[in-house]
Amino acid sequence: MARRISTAIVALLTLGGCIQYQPGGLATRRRTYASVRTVGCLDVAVEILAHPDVDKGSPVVDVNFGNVCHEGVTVDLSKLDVTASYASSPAMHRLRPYDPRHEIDGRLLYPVWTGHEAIEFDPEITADHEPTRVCVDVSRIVPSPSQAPPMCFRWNATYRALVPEERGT
Amino acid sequence: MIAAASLLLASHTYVPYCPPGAVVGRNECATYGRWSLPDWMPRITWSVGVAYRTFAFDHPTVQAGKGVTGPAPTIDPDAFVGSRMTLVGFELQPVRFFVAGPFYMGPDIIVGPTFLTGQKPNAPGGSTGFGLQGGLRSGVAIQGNDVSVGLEVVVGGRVAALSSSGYQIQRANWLVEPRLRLDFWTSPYVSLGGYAAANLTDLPSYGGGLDVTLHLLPFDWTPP
Repeated sequence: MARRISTAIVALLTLGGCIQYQPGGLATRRRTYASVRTVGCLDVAVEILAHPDVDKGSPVVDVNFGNVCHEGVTVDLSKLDVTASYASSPAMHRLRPYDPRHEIDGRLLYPVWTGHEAIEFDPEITADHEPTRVCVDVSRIVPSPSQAPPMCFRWNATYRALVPEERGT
Repeated sequence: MIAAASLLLASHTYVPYCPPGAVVGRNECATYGRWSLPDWMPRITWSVGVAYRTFAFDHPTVQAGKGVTGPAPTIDPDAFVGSRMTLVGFELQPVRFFVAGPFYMGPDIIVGPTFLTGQKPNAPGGSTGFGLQGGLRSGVAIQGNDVSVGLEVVVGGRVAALSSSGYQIQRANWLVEPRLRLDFWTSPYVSLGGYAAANLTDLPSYGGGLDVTLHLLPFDWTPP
């Protein structure tokens, strides 16, 4: 009986440790083409994806985030700042999130919790091809005075994907 | 009307398939913010542990057990003077609610065997018995990074009893038990705690406990 109780307690303690976000966790298990930043309490990993439901000229910003603090934080992905350039229009253009239900706003992320969203961003110009470069600034998605440099991705013809520039590819 | 009701029912039971990586706004299922919980989520904890109490057992009363017809034991008024009862048992806090900010309350129960020492040789009832205490626990928790300090009080009652020829030799008293407790967070959802306590209605009566607590929300965090 005592052995069963001690086993249950050990299992409880172990399980409790597993279902939490560990600081730096996104950097260690990020996907091939993701870039990672830390802003305030939040680790953020961003990847630029193509999606069959979405026009080629509209990048899908795939965002994974984890709260490293013992306090909750309001995460507002409407404040993602996304710019892109195209072969037909080399200047950087600001993109708008596709939000037909007007649902992208600030939500509460509890301590050590994680979240994920895939949000389409549309250019105001006509773009028939994938962007050649996309930059995502996550500095304002949490109310934090700390700044994070923008994550920029460049089209890589070999991989046929937008790859983080910081990788030097 | 039946068709309309069926349609309404169907619309409420339909769960759309949501492929991994579904884009917000592009799929019926891809609603934004499923990672978030509302700020009114209740903060609830459950605890189980072991507890220890020691208290006086002088001037107990005698009560007949169920169906007992024999003569009640006579107790020398001085037989238990100076004796001490020790309760070693399980402690259960079946639920605890944070009612406002760091303030919480919930029931608290300790049950287990008791051991009597210091009684006179002519005292009836042997030296082992049964003890139970219970009450409403309320307090305040101050959260640190890896520890939580709590100041709380349990208000209720306590009874300890010995058995003698079918009769209960028992002592009951009110409980006003302040406690100082310390909890160490082993994970955001589990803490190990310990406390020291004294019963103000029955001094010198003191004790302590060790427990493990499961928390519904990480670190019992409350939105400001």
